[in-house]
Amino acid sequence: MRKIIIATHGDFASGIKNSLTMIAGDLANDIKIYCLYPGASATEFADELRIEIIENSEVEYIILTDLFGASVCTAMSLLTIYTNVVVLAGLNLNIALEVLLGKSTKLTSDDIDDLLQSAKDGIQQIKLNTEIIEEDF
Amino acid sequence: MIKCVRVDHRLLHGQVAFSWTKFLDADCILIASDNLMNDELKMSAIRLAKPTGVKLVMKSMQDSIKALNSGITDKYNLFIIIESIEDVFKLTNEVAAITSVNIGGMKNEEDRKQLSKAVYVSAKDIELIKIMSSKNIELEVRLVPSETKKNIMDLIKGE
Repeated sequence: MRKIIIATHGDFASGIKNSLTMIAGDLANDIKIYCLYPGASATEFADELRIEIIENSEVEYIILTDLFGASVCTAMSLLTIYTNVVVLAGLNLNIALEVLLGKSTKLTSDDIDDLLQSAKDGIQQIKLNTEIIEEDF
Repeated sequence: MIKCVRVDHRLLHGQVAFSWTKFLDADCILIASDNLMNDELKMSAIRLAKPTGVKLVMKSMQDSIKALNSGITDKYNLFIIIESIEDVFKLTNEVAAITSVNIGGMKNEEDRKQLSKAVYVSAKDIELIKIMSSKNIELEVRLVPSETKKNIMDLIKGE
């Protein structure tokens, strides 16, 4: 079983959950979100999560965070000591969709590399090329 | 084999490229539309939306029908996307292998009435839907795969 957690600065987490629901429907309902607001500390959320993670060692926790190196990501990084936890930074819709809709078996390190690649592939300048040769059957 | 035929006026977009393609395990998407084949710019934009690892073919209605009936598409897990009820009516008339149609999104225009959140139909659409339904073609309304199928005939009757 997999549990997806999205933890970000401000409303990004709730906003991206809303977008995921639009694209993937009810599948996104079970995503747990954490929005960090001024004056709060992400380590408190990490401590709450830690208890859940220890109690549910059979559950695979995929934690998606926004900015690499920032406080939310740093707080979540402390949870990577558990073997049932994967923490990824640089959240975008591509990576969230891949985690949500991709294979449901436990992620291998190759799977994680693929996830990160697809997130990176989603970042690009848009250019329309009308000279592409048409694909056929 | 044909995994799904979907009516969606937006053709290839996020719900389709991600949710449906993965859900169906499709390895080839066919967009059958005469309008699209006359719009180079729109075709380019659709090419951008192509999911990785999936073949994308765009054809006119006539060429699509020819290809589907020739057997050349049998080797694919094929996902067909159609723009309108009128086009899907043509397709189901000519391609016997299609027994079920997913109705995704049909935009609101004048003289159309709303059947569900994203489906609007004209009086002519309803006529065609009734004919298809009488031929035992399943017509189910669903935006994304995780929703429950709703029979479009029930929604029409409920109006």
